[in-house]
Amino acid sequence: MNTSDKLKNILISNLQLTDLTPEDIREDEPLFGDGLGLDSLDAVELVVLLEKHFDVKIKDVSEGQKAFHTFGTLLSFIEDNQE
Amino acid sequence: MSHWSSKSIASSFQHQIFYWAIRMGKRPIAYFMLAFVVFWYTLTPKVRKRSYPYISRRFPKTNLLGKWLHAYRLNLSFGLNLVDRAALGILDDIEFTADDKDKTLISELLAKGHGVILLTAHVGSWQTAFAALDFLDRPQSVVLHRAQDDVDQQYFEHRPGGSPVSIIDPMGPLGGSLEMLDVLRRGEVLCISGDRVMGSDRNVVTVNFLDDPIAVPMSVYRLASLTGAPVVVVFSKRIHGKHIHIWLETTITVPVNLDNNTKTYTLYAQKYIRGLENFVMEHPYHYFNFFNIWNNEN
Repeated sequence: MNTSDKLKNILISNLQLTDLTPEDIREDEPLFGDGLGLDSLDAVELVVLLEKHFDVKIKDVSEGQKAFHTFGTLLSFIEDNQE
Repeated sequence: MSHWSSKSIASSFQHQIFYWAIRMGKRPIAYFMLAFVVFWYTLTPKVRKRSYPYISRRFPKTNLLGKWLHAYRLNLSFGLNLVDRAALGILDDIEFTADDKDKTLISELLAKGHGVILLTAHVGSWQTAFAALDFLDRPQSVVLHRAQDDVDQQYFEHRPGGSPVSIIDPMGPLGGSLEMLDVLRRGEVLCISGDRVMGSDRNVVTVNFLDDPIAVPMSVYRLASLTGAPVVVVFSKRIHGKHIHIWLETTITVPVNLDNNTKTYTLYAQKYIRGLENFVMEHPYHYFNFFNIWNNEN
């Protein structure tokens, strides 16, 4: 399974997005607000999920804001920071 | 979902009159003016009725005149807290007391290295009580939102040097949540109120408060489970103009690594709300949520 599919499945199963399928999540889909509709607590969940499933850490709020903008930016962040 | 605003109902000019009275050493004048200002505002239906959802549940047998009197007392109590908050910043003449056993327990929990969540509510002297945290030997961060057009000042805004604690804005980037996580991961103190939902209602828990359901944020308990931080419920109350007492109401231990299903955290949120109920039963005029927090009321 490629990183994109793995990430989509992780988001759907761990963030209570049970009404979505992986095909529903677009690269340019905003994660917060009008896109996937995640909220601030989900940002914490994302930090923990990245550490657990991809061994990738978010250093600070600024890095988190950039990485968590859309599904595509999150995917790029993972791919850029995975060892 | 009920909405609230932190915006003051009084104008900037009105606030400045009170600040001036306090600066001139005339706090009794500020209290005297307050009684009339509160009377005037309590006559206004829009202001008066903000507290009615609470008053009708806390005092279920009260009649219309009784409701007005309860609203006046509640508004006056809130006003007194605001005057004293300003006095703390301008005159620094308020004594904070707490039982040594409560302080010791919090310090011992903090020493375990997972941080501590000091959980309170919009009651008592919540906006001033964090001035009393200097007995803790770790940095403290307070989750505090200030509306852009809000004109009343926090106590530390009356003095040079700014806030003695870090402020995390829950309406800031990503709701301040990453900063909250970092605070606890560093083993520090996070102070937060748990009785209001800010922004999204996606991650909320439904609990009973005064026999009717309300929604409260799940985030406190989820953060506790993710970090191992104990939750310590603390409340405070104005005893008189120069004395605020703080006490530990209960502690909540949330097991680590729980799932993130909202229902998982109902038990912990309900324990917090039971503590809040104890508070309002004993101190009914120190509850300061001036909006309808109950889900099922039109």
